[in-house]
Amino acid sequence: MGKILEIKDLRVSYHTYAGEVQSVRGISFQVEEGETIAIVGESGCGKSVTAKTVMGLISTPPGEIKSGSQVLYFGENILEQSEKEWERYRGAKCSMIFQDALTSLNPTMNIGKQIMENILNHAKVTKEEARRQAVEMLELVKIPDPALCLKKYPHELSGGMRQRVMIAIALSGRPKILIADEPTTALDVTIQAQIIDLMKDIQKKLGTTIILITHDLGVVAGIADKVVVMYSGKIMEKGDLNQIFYGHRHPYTWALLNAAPSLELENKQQLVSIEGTPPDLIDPPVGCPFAARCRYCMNICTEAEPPEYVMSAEGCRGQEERGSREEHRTACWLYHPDSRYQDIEFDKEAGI
Amino acid sequence: MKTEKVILEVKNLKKYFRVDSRRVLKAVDDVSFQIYEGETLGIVGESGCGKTTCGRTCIGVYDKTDGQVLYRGQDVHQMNKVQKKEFTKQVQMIFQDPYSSLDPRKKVHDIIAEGMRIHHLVDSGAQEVEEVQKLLLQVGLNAEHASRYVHEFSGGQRQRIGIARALAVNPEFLLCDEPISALDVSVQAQIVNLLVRLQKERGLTSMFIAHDLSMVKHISDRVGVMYLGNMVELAASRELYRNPLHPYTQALLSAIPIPNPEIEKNRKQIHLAGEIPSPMNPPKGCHFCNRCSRAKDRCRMEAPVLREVEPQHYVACHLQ
Amino acid sequence: MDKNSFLRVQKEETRISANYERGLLKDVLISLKENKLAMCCSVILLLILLVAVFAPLSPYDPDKQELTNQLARPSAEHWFGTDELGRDYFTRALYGGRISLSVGFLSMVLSTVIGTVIGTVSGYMGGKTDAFLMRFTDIFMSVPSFLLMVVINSLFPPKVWSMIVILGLFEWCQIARITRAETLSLKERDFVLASKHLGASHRQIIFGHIIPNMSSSIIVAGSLAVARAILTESALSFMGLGVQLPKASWGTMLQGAQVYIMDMPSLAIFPGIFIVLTVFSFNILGDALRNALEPKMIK
Repeated sequence: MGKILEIKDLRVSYHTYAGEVQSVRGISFQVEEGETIAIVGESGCGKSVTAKTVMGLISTPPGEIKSGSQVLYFGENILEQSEKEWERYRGAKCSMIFQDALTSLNPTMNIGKQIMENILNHAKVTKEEARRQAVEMLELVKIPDPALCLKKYPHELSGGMRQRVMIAIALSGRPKILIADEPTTALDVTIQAQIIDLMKDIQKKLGTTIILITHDLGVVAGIADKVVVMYSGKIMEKGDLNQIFYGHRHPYTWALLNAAPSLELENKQQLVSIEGTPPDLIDPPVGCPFAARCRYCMNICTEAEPPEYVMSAEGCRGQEERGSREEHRTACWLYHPDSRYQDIEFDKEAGI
Repeated sequence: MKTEKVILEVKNLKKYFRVDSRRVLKAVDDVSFQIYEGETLGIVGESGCGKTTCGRTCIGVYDKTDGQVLYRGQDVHQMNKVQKKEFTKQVQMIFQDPYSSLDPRKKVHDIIAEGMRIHHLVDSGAQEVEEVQKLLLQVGLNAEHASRYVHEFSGGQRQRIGIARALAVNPEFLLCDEPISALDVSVQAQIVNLLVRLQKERGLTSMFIAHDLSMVKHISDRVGVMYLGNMVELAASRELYRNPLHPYTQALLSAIPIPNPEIEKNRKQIHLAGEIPSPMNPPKGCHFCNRCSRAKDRCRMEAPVLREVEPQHYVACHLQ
Repeated sequence: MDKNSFLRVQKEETRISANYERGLLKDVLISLKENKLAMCCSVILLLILLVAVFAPLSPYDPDKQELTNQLARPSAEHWFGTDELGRDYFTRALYGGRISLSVGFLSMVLSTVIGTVIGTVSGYMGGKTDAFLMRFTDIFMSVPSFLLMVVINSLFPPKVWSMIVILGLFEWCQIARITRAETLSLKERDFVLASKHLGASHRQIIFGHIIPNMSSSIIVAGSLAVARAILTESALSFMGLGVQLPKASWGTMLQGAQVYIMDMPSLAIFPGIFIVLTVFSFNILGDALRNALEPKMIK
């Protein structure tokens, strides 16, 4: 397994009439081939913008990808490629599914045409062959009676079916990477479970790398191998699934994990809530963006940006050079050698 | 279960919408339940199950098609103007969308004070200001926020303003219609904590509608599960989660994603075949029969009624 | 890094997010600043408005005839020259502006009030009331209003106030349609439902919530209605069916200039320029207002 995608110091801004919104403020992470990586965060944390950048969907203006940003696909910086190359890249190397399947499908074209169009764009095949492949794709996403489905229009399908069709279209160019932007948010719980299972299944069959963008940690727990936690345009913590869920070190990750009531929790017990609201990205605060809402905030947190610390099971292993192996990393001052709170135990009762 | 006074009694409530000359959407089809004083009744269900319509019909926002809703013994849909006005003082609602539920052209003070003015609850401007400030503090905002417009606030803060508006008339019953589903996870917890605290402080009775089962379980004393316009199961929330009897409830519970990889890896999900049928054309018999793995012939012929299977545990299923 | 750096801080209050949405007036001012043409137009309108208001400061009487000085060319003494009766043409144009602008404004106010009330009530009540009011509006719209105005004005001697009433009565249909459409979408919003459930009366909801929320559309429609009313008034006056002599309006001045169009084209050009400038400015301003008030770029 090699690095399929590497994002280095990505910065993206949007120019609005109120000022420059710094949506993504210098993030780096890498994706291994065949794994599922989840980018988790609240609305406005920059997770969707990151996905759009990887797909080359940032329109400039109003968007702007800052110089120095790099998105390496097998070592090649795709941010520098021409529009022609982008077209070849989208769909064949990397494709994306969106939260709202209804608006992402063309309402005036039947499903068959939409899938076949995509297949014909990426491979030199006959129409017959394209149709055969389209049926195959629909079978892959477990649509009952695919031949009939080809003739249907998007509005004739239910929400779950539309999402399946979208996945089929996205996969029809046989991409190496599938970016799923909140694929289950608009769906009901029972349908959501079906779609998650489908995505796991597809990954097993095709070995596609999946980048999952979501705010739902429950979904992440069921599917992801690695997790990146983002907050106001920065990465707070990243690591593999167990490290994030059982060995998280960042107060934000902790609060996020404990904000949702679990079924074991006593009724009407206080939930861990993060007071306040995310900072304004037009005028982002100096230092750690989470400082203003953090229970463990120290003086330095509001003065300087925290570096990334590499974590190990025993605790902090100190700050390492960027670009070394991907490990459990936390951007938090608590793990500075001078900090007295290195062995902090997050406590639900404290400070509520 | 507390043997307290029934505050809201819903008897065989039906609410149909006419879609066109031939089709009728049965949003709520023969639902009966009671809400006791001081409790929180949660209503869960997937989109299109009629939970919002049910809630709104119960407090008289929509006219009913058939059945009866009694609020303290008084028929909600047959009140005269005076009674209706008194009723709106006692029963308030909180909305799902914090953006469309507050008037963008009004200041926070005026939004909160509107109810007090309509019901003449304050005598002077000074008293009004005082009351509004008290409410703002109660919902976790500052007194200085009163002079701002709502677009200056985030979703969670707006939801707090909406709650303050509802509380301004001192209601005893609160209908919370998906009050947290439009908010971020971290903010959801803030609002849920606030609602729980206010309920305790003010002794509010409430009906909490949501699609998020874990949240409903957390906040409710009893939970009703709706599917395609029917109430399929109703029980105390712990009981319902420990011992779900209806196959739909079981499937719903097993589908909740749990933020814990160990549990996720090992749990067995009950897979529901297919999707919710259109409420315009529900299957005959038990509405759930076409997705139920244990459906028998009887389920396809005859609609089950909600009956008490265990003490205070009601299920509408032939299999029980 | 001093040693205090790693001490925990006491929580201070979190600030609420900054305000990027501006008030109605500020929105308009900022978008005017960006739109040079609209800025120009509002300056021109302001000038025309000011000179019309302060017309009595002119040293000449608009009706005083100076028969020795007929049809004088524009000069330092008489900026626009004089007309066939030796009246100072500049002063007459200013007084004409008073009539034209007030006819335009007042008929706009009248039509906006009628249109808003009919449109809002129609949209809010729905059902039979809506059907009746909208058919009524349709009938009004299908009448060739200009011809009807010509007929009415030729039957009854037109006065300034009757011009205002007649123009107002035929201009409200557009506004009624716009406000009805807005009301239909506004009344479904949750805040209206909330207000209803707080026990507010229909009147309180319409005046307290619905009309304030469509103020921007009404302003835009109103500014365009002024332009239309000024044009219609000029056309009627030009045909001799509008404001009656000796009172001047830009339309009647144009009419009077017809006879001398060959010898003294300036008599036609000056009031013509006033009309064109005013109407053009109102139209541009209407468009600019639409851009300023309607799209909400930041939620």
